[in-house]
Amino acid sequence: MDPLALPISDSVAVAGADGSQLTYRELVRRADNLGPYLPQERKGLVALLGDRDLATLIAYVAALRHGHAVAWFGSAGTASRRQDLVRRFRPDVVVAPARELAEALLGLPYRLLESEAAGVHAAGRTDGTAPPEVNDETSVLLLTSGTMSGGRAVRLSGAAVASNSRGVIDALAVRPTGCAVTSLPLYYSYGLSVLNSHLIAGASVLLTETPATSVRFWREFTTAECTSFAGVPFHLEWLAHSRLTWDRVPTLEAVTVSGARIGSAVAQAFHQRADAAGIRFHKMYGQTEATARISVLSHNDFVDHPDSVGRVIVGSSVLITDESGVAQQDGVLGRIVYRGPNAMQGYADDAVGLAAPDEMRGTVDTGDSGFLADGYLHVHGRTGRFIKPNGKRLELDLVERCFEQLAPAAVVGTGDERAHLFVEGKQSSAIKDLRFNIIMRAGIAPEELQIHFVDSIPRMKSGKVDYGSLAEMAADHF
Amino acid sequence: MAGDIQRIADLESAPVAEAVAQHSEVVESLYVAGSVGARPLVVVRPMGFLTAAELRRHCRELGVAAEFDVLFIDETQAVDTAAPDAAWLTANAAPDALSLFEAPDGEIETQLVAVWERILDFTPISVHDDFVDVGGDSLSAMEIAVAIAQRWDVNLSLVDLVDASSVRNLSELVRAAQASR
Repeated sequence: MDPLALPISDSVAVAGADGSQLTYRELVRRADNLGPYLPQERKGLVALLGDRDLATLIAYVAALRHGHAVAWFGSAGTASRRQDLVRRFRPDVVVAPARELAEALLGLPYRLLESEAAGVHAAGRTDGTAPPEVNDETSVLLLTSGTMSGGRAVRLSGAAVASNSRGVIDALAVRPTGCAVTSLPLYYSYGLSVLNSHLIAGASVLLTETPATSVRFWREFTTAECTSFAGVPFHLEWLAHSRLTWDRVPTLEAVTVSGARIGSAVAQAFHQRADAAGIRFHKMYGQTEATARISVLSHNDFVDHPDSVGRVIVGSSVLITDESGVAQQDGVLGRIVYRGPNAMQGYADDAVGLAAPDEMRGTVDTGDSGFLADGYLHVHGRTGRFIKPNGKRLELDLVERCFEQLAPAAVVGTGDERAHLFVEGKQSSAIKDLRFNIIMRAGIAPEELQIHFVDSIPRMKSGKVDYGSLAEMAADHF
Repeated sequence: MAGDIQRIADLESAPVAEAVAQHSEVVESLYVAGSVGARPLVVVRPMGFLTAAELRRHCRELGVAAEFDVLFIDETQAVDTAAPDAAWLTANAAPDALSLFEAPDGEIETQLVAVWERILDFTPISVHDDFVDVGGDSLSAMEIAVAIAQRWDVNLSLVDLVDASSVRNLSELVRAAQASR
């Protein structure tokens, strides 16, 4: 099924930063121009290596309209990672901006398609082997990984994408007159949910890659008369501390935040400022494995439940369990388990994994801990070994492995989304260089990867690193 | 003698006044030459999103002197064009309406201005200019934070950087971090 099922109307679907506009009718026409270049009479896999550009968006709509699955691999930051993904998943068609396309397919059995007429650079696989078999229900594949690691693909059904979008439309009251902006990457489930929910609601989206932390972005936003802004906690902190006058945009109605835990003080201050400007502020919680959104805290509920991430969206539920899976009572801390139509079908690591049946059957263990109180969900922490500074995801084990090549090292994350690296011995130029290398590759601030030199890393009797003691040591550096 | 200085100022001011007036977001403008040793003042009635930093960059691109202060006025304010008094105008300006151009003072400020100009591809930068006004965003903040960490071994978060707002405040942060070691 096509989860978008776009209406053929003359209202604006996509606005450009240059003032250009594309109606739904025109968007569908351009998507259908690309249709003939996609696999015919069977379900195929279309990989998108781009992000927030019109050609990529047209290819996304086209693939879904013609019954194919879309693997949105835009997060792969380097040519070698893009190559690796294409090699592993063997998509029928790869769509990307011209240069990335040539780089990603160098030496691989693909040839350029004559899809230029449809305004899209694409290449088709030519090795003549049997195409990968894709599960009938699968519509979208998104990567869970961070900016540095390889990544597993999350398989999402068309029904899940449609139902999650409906939940978002309902919780945020998305109207056909609304206009969102691509402030977040579209290969990121939260960013994609903004696009999907607005297109399904018949609203419009300002398509821009301009960073939401810049003056230029807010000028584009103001000129396009956007009504909602979606950010991660880092965006809100930036908006609170910068001189950007987001709260004076006359058309802005709602701001949503999700993607990582937001500090109480930041949320309170932001709610207050939004409220004073007549703007709704929604905290949300979600996960790619549950097709983006799980819960939404309405603006008015914030006053009584400021530390909550709100109520679970319509059609879904959340269960809190102990380690053995037994349901817990209200107020008791446990694992957050999602149940409902938005659950993924499972992970896939390569083309073979795409054919797998629905392995989750409507249930996803989020790996987060939390509790429910009066129907409001509270997220306490995460069990995974990663931090999310500035909306980026940094795998701690990966960082640890990098440094272990130089000296015994261990990394812990702290609640303020910082990584503290403990290294045995003394500072050296190799360690210094590696730190800056990781900082730049991961796109984080120097403060978010701090190094402490110790005589010896605390270990348990078994010889394993004592992360509990390290966490206490790191907390002393707050 | 005083007459000569006035004539020289007039000769220099004409192209600047012209360049300012040419900017598409300038509705009305007035160039007030500074007294000896002082910077000139440009009084501007803007439209759209015009900033003082943008106006200076525009002048620099046109190859004229861009080291001037800027006073923004709105449609309710009038300026005595016959005998404008720069000192009086700046002393009575609303806090957000006046933007001073000041060159860097000391080694840290000088290097920070150079780093900003290189990373933001924006010139000239006053030590009072706000980071986002000169085209800064989280990506350039990251590059600047890395440059600061490499040069002075001081770790700043991106929010510290945007919160500091200007080269002047940022150099204070760097100095304070160095002093606390």
